[in-house]
Formats: sequence, C-alpha cells, structure tokens
Amino acid sequence: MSSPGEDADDATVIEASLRDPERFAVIFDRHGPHICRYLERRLGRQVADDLVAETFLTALAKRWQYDLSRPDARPWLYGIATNLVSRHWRAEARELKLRDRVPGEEPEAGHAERVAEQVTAQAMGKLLATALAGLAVAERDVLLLIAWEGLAYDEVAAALDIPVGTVRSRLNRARRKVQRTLRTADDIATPEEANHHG
Amino acid sequence: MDEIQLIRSMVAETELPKSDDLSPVRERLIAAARAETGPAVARRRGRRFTLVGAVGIAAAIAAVVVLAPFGGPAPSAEAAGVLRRAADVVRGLQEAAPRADQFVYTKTEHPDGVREAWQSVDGTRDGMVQNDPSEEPAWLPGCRDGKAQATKGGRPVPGRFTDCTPEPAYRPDMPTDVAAMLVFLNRNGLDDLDRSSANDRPVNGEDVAYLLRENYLSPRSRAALFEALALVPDLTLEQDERDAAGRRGVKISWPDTDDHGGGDLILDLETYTVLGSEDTAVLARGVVDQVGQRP
Repeated sequence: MSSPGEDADDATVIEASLRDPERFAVIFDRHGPHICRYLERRLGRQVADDLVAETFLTALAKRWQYDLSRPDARPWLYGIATNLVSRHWRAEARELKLRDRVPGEEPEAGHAERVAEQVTAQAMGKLLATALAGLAVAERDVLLLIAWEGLAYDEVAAALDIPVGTVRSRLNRARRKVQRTLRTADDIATPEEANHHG
Repeated sequence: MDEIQLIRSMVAETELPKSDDLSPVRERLIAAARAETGPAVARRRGRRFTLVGAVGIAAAIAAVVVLAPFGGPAPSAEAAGVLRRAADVVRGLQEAAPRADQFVYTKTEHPDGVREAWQSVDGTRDGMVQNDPSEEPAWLPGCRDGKAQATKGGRPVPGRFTDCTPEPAYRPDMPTDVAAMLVFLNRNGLDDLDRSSANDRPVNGEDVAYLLRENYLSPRSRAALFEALALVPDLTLEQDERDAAGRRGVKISWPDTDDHGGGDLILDLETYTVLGSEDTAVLARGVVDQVGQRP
C-alpha cells in the first residue's frame, strides 16, 4: 500500500482513504477553509461551523461513490455543502415562519439579507440582497457558486448534478432577474445612488 | 454594469477561516474516520447509500414478518397502512370551510415553549402571534393590495410598507387528491422555495408534517397529505408513543436522507387527529372570528 504524497490529486487521496479513512483529513485540509467560507457567506458564521462539519462527515460517508475519474473534489464538496444549505434553509423557513422571523418584517429577505447587513459599507448591498432573495433556490445556487466561489460552468454542473446547459440557462435567468431589480431601483434611486453604476 | 462583479463585491470581505478555527471540525472528522472499524464496515455503509431503495423495500418485507411480533419499530408497509386508514377516516369528515374574514387559531407546544397564533384566513387581515406569554405578542400584518405594514420587533413602523403577497392560513385551492398533492409538494415545496425544481424528487416528510401540524386544511386535503406521506420511503411505525405534551398516539417516522431531514408525526390512533411529534404538540386548532378569541 503506497501512501499518496502531498502532490497527489484529490481522487488519489480519496481512493487511498477507502482503505485508510484518516487520509480523508487531507481533503479537509485542502478544501475545508473554502467550503467554510462559502457556508459563512450563505448562512453566517455560526451555522457555517456546524454545516462545514456536516459537509465533510457526509463526504466521508459518501466517498465510496466518489467518481475517481475526477481529480478535483471541489465541485463534489460544493455540491454537498449547497445541498445542506438548502436543507437548512427549508427547515428554517418552516420553523421560523412564526417563531423567530415575524412575517411582514422584510418578508422576502433571507440569508442574503443577513449577508448584506454584514457589508453595510456597500451601497448596493441591500438592493443586491433583495434581488438575490427574489431568485428561485436553484437559480441562486448556480449564481452564487459562480459569482462568489468562482466555479466554472462544468464545475457547477458537477456540483449540482445538472447538465451544463441547465447551468447556463439558470445563470442567464438569474442575471436577468437581478438586472431587472437593479434597473427598477435605478428609476426610483436618488441621483447619487444612480451614479454608482452609471 | 456587471452584476456578477457586484454580487461578488457583497462578500469580498469574508475572509478564509484560519486553520486553528477549523481544528475542532478537523478533530471531529478524524474521530469519525477512526470510528470506521475497517474496510468491510465502510464498504457496507457505502452500498447502503447507493441501493437504499432496493434494500429498503427488501428489508421492509423481511422485517414485517420477522421483527414486528417482537416489538420495536415496524417498517414501511404497516406505517403506510395506518396512513391510508387515516386518509380514509379523515376524508369522510364534514367540516365547514372557514370564511375569508376569519382567523385560524393554533396553539402549539415547541421545544422553546407554547405558541399561540391567529392567522388571517385569506392573508389580508392583521393577525397575531404570541411566542411566550411573558412577551408582547407580535403583529402579523395582513397583505392588502400588495402592501403590508412594515414591522420592527413585532410592532408596526408608521409610514413604512413592504411588498408582499398574501399568505392565507387556509387555502381553498389546496389539492384534494394524492396525485395533485404530490405535484404541489414537489413543485411548490413550501413558500415556493423551489419553484424551478423538477417534479421528480421524493416526498419530503417534513414538508408534509409541517402542513399537517401548522396549517388549517380541508379534510380532503389532509387525507391527500396522509396518502402522500405513505409514499415516503422507509417509514417506521411505533404503536404507543407520546407527543411533546405527553399525549399517547401512534408514531410514524421517516429517516434522514441525502435530500431531506428525518422526522416523525404522532396521530391519535382512533380519530387520526394529528397530535404533533416527539418535540411538538398541536394543543388546539380552530377557526375564530377575531384575533384574541379561542375556539
């Protein structure tokens, strides 16, 4: 049994981890920080800490199904994390409807809204958050994996297990919707705000 | 203007976590890896993920014969049978549909306490929710002509309105047969969270349970939800369980899957009224004319 070195690709490490589970820590060391940051961007720091653990525990349990022809595990991990985000979000929407979030109080705003609050320095932040909140979940996932995480189209396709054509059409739809929201806001914005992207 | 760059700028300041911050997570992962006692166990676990459907059904059939007489959870077939009986009983109930100007009252027990809510039947009237008797109740502004009064901390902010669509507490257009209900559950999910998803996902037990617990539905819609829940894979049945308020009932549970969280629903075994679940209890539910009234 040879032990893959530091320069071995993810697939090689994952293959080795099938016999030696602790090798999987290498995958965590390589991608854990980025996955954690992604989860923080989407759900805030506190939830991110829980979900990053869940992401990698899920990945560990599912590594037997990993497609070893894919050298880079990043899309796979982003896919697991994104799935947990939407699971978390659905559970939260269900439970918080009456409890922690009072309806009528920014009714369409969600995690993106909270993100916007963290970056109040950005004049556009709130408006963008509103635009993001107006997207369908599937569109938002595609848009954020590309805009925030810098994944390529084929990586998003692998992460979400959808055809590349679907990635493209969801992205286009999402961009159009965001543009529309920003344009509508332009019409009613003060001249100063309008100049920001004139 | 490039909206991709704008969107990127929203999170430009989120820094990568330091490896020290992540070390507790790393420890957990390594502990889990060590807990795999050897390749044989791990491989079995992997197989369970890929063949969950086939194994589930086979195990269910085997377990009906072997396990049920000895107690412990009884598997799918029996649980689905209870749900179908519940559907038959509930479908025959006669209940007057609430009027648009009324309110759906629910009193539910949660891990955090007891909550009372008055929700507008058509979503246009102002309702109220009281999460804790010691706190001021929060206002649920009705949505009229696409606008709702903005609130802060449960109180109205004068002169500020938000865009809205009414959220009716009772939806007369809810599906009343299982086929239409499955389309509704898959396509709409809850709150249209997943509008664009394909209509081929397994039923999410938690969505069904939520609708049964926290909403007011016609008997035929409730029956359709019971039938939809009967289709969730790997259900189990436990005969004598207690809800969060300690009331006895029959418990239907479904496991965690890749897509959905696990959960449970506890029904009164005679009337098939939804009592709640392990950690929640529907203490009262009814239709009233005014906020503050109890049925």
